[in-house]
Formats: sequence, C-alpha cells, structure tokens
Amino acid sequence: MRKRNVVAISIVILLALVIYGWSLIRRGFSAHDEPSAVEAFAARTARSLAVPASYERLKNPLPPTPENIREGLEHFADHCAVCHANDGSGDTPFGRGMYPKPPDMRQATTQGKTDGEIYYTIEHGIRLSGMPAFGEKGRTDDESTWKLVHFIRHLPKLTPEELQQMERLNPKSRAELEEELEAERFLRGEGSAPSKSTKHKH
Amino acid sequence: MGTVTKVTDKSITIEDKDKKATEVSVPADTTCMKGDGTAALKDVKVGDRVVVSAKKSGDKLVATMVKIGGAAAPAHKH
Repeated sequence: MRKRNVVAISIVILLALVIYGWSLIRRGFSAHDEPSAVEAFAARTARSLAVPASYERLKNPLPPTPENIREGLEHFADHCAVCHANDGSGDTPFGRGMYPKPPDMRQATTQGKTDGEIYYTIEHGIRLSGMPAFGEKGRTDDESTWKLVHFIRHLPKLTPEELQQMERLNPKSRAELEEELEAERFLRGEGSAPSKSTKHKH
Repeated sequence: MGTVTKVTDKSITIEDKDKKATEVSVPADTTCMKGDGTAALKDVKVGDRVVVSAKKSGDKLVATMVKIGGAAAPAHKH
C-alpha cells in the first residue's frame, strides 16, 4: 500500500514537471518575457541559499563617507549603469531586453539584502542571468566593490544633481558625445535644434 | 531638443528647427535641470530652449529628464 502511494505521488510529480516543462517550451525563449512566478520564486530562493553564510554576515568595512559614496557613484555610472540605469531602476535598453530583467535596486528586494550579500553578488555574479562576476574568488576586501555597496544603499536618496553628474560619467559613443555637445551648445543659445535625435537604438 | 511652444502642468510642446511640434508628457517625478541646479516644470516658459530625454509609452512620449536653457533669440527678419 505504502509503495503504491509513493509510485502514485512520483507519477503525479513527474506529470506536473512534464506539463510545466512543456508550457515553458510553448512560451518560447524570447528575452522580452518576464519570468513566471514559479521561475522567479525558484531563482530568488536558490540565489539566497547560494550566498555563503560567511559572506552574508559581512558588514561594509568602509564608512559611508560622502567621498566613498561619490567614488561608488563614479564607478557605478561607468560600469553598471548601462544595464542597471543611473538611478538603479534597470530601465535601460540593455536592462529592458534581459531575461531576467535587472531588479529595481531602490526596492526592498535589493535594499533588504545584507552588505555581504550585495558584495557577493557584485564579486561573483549570478549564473544564468546578465550579471557577470567582477571579482576574484574568495576575496572579501575589494574596496571599490565595498564603495559600490555604499552607493547602492544610497540609490533611494539619489538627487537630480547626482543623476546629472552620472550622465556626464556614462560611457558614450562618439555620436553620443557629439549629440551631447550639440545639446549643450543649443542650451547656451548657440546654433539651432536638429530636426531629430541621432541616438542609435542599439 | 527644441524651443518650447506650450507648457501645461503635465506636458510641454517643443518645436524643432523644421517647425515640427512634439508634445511630451512630464510626470511629477521627472528630473528638471537648469544649468547645474534643480528646476521644476513650472520653471519652463514658452520660448525656452530645452533638451528632453524621453521614452515611448504607447503612442505617447514621456520625459525622463528635462534640461532647460535660456530663451531662444527671436528669429531675424533679414
């Protein structure tokens, strides 16, 4: 009787997995979609469990001085904003096109993490997502990463002046630099407005 | 980028050099800058030069940043 129950439960689980797998394949593999609730839950749980306890307990060894936050801001604008956006919302052409999309880092899903969890994510990346590993295995003293952690904590309080400063620091193509110069000249009252933007979509 | 031809409490209309007008909605949380300082939509006046970063939302354009310059010089008649 007990053996029969085990077999029946196994068949039900197997059938559920086959149906779920089939529905995943039927949905296709476009990166436009949002992960299903099941995928998001499984990924978040696995990710949370995957952070070693030794990292989870780490506290930022650097003080949150304006200087450290500024250095984090400069680093973020240069390396991270292309996917995460200057304000941490993830609302960029790269971010919108990823699967899964980068999280809005101003929200509790990121802000609720410990310093060590954020540090670990930056240093080790997230497998099967667009987040690369930027650090070295086992290293916990990378000051530039700890400054980034301070800046990520600062994201919900970002000021318009800081956003403008970051715009100046974002990597730009030659065409974008020319467009920016043209915009500055136009705002100063020199020249006239072009009829359309020259910005590329990709 | 262009010259402002109309301002409401939720949008601005900009005219480019080809006289093509484009309306952009400006939500309350949109960052507005004048020089290096913060500004607001109420600081935008008809005739000002502006540079607007915007994204499409359906068939509308929604501003994410508005940079305000000075008033455009009146066009020369000759």
